[in-house]
Amino acid sequence: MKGAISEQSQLSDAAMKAKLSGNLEENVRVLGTIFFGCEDVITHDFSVDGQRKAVTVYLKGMINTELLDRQVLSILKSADSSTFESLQVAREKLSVSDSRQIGTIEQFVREVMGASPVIMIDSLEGAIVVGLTQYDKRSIEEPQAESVVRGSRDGFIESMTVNTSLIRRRLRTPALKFVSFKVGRYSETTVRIGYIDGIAKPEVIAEVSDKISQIDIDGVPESATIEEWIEDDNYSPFPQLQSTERPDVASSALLEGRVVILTDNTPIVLIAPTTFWSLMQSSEDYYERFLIGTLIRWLRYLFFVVALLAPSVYVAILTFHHEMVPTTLLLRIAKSREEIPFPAWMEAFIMEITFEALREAGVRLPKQIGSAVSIVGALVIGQAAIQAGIVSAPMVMIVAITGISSFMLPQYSMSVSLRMLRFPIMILSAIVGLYGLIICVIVIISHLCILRSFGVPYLSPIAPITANGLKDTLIRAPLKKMKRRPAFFAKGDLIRNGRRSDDPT
Amino acid sequence: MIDMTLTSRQIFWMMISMQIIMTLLLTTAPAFQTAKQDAWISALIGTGIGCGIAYVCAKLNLMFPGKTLIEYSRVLVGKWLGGLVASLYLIFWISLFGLILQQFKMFILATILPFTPPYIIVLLLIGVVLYLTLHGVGAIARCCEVMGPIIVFGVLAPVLFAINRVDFDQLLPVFVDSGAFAIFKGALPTATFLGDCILMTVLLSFVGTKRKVVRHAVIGVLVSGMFTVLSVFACLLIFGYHVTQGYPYPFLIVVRSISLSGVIENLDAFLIAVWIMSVFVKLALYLFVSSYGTAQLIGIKSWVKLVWPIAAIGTIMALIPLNYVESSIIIPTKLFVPYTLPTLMSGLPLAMFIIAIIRRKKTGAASAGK
Repeated sequence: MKGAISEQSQLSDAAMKAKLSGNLEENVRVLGTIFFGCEDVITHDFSVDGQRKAVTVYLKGMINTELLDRQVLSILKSADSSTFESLQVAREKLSVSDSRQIGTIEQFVREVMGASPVIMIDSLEGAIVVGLTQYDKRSIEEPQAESVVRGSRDGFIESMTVNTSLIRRRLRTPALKFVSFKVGRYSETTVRIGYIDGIAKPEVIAEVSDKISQIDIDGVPESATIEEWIEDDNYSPFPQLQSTERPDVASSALLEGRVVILTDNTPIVLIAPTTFWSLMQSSEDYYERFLIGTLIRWLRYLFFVVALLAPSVYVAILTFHHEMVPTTLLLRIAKSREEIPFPAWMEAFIMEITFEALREAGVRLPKQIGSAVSIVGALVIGQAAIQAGIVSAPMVMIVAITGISSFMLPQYSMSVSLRMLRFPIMILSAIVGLYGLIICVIVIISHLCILRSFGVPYLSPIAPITANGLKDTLIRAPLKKMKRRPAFFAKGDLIRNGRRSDDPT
Repeated sequence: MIDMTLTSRQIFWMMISMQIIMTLLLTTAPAFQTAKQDAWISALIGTGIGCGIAYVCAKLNLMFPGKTLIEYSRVLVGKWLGGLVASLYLIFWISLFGLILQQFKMFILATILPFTPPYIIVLLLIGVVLYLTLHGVGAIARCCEVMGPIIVFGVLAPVLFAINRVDFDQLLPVFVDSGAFAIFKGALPTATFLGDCILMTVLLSFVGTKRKVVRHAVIGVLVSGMFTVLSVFACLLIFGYHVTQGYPYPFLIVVRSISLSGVIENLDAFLIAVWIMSVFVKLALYLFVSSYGTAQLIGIKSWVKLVWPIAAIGTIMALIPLNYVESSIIIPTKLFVPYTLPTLMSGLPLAMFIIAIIRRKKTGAASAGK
């Protein structure tokens, strides 16, 4: 066995690039060394035309065996000798709509590993690939991480073909293009980018394809790998690509002129370029009445600030700026803090870290134990800690409101970075009060101003400001009023609606 | 990624965010001291002068598209004289950078953090300023667009909250007490602070499309000046000049006096936090302009390398222990008002503007004659 493995690894690139010869036995021998030890690769030999030998190679459990037997093998077996004049003729006889010819060993291996059965016939050079890939996939379900009250219930799944079709079903135009890449030396994962020709900016498409084809990695376990590899700034806490499980979100992003990146084996689809504001939006903003959408959007902005700053403001005010709190309220807080042995900042730290730990434990644990953790957590944080005089009741309230606010953000990656940013702000607020807090805010704003996602400034359309862009950030304008696509994403066809010419503009 | 293009609207927001707070905090007190209850007229005149400077600078820059003051001063008045003019401006800007840091340090120490070591305040701020400035003027401009509205809100909110205590009798008598000379003298500090829009002589060279750029520049200064007028009115109508003139930062007492249903009180720490943004933007712009200008003057390609030494000079200047009177009253009123306002801020740009027009007419006539 050791010898065989070393022989396989010694199989040079030149040998892999070699053509499939007309000698079946020779081919089978070479492939046998390559597939040595791969028990799931089935090499089935059979004879056609009475005496001629043929072999089909496929991955067990990844193809539709029933169709292979019925539509390919039985036809080949019963065919007359004229069929085998050339591979082309043999292929044309098959009753399969998706089949093609290949020539080299490398292509052969790639097709088999890509779950297509391949057929070789003795004395004919090359091989026939039939597209009978079929493997188990879960059914289309409602997305877990992006739930909505109103909106479609289908979500992306792990199969790229299904995901592509979910988008195509929503945009039935040939202008919607898909381009595929193979990423990962070992995983050979298919990564597919989709865009609408004539809306998406060519430079963005070029940049995305460029960056994807430059990925040099052994495997792609999830689209996060792609995301990390192609984003502009790895050191930024903010996500520079939007991720979604919802095909309706993906297709409206396409209509805005953005590029979607589908990765095989994951239900998470990436959207590029991304702005800060698009990460703050939920698909439901557009499905509810526009006033409600606007209101909820503002609520989200407000609680974004709360989630980021609430504990720091509390710490800063209690440590440095007592005079800001009305006297009666200050007395209440002082009374509840009377027996607490810690300064406010330490109290805040204990509580925030405990909360983060509880949240992380709740996510990682199996569902059955998860509820136990939340009960114990609620008791520990909420009741016992206060009664024991370890933390004060106002602090518990602050932590609770911060936690809830961070859950309000539609993008999980955004709320994660928010939770992380909270701690440095708390430290600086504990040292120099509101001055430290505002310094942190300035750093964050500066960072957001500096950041770009695929050439688009992260804060557009607020900075640089465009009046048209404000219609979809500060408010959610009625759809009839949003006549143009955001110009920082799109190029070319910018008109969204109102093309019927009774409109004076 | 260094970002070096601006839009003309960004010039507007730059002027707003860098000018409002410093002007409003540091020039209302001298205006009240000289012009008494007519300080608002002073502030208006000061705004007018500021707008004039902005107009001249913007027009001058339009004559030399894509060029900064450092470059076109040599074209206008010859290599050596131009170099002298440019270095005067750069020395002025670098020292002003240090002085703003110094004033800011005094302000924070006097208002919200009396017991904090000054170097912490200075170093924290300079660190953030460096971070933004190193990423180029485009990033600073976007920062202004985000912070500008917040800063405007930070000035408008206290005025709106305190509007119920306005007493128009405090305005009287108009003009009689002080007289024209005092009113004009009271306008000079405001004009000096708004006159720092001469930064535009460098900044405007980065604007991509020049359409409306003069308008945006002048309106930016005008609006900043109007906020100073508003703050003067707020102080005057709520407290009267007798009370106001005793305070180093008059607008701050307006903020301190706010009380909303007895729940929200003493907003000053919060609003000072918002105002810090304005100083931050101002420092970033000064640091950028002085390092970019110095690089052009001594002929270095990479201005980024000069950001560090200039920031260090500014930090050292800011850490010199001065007292409040020296940094915020003596230096501005005894040095800038009599010397830099007539020369660097108004005289030189105007002179260069006139020279440019004459030269253009000459060359125009010469080319027409051919």
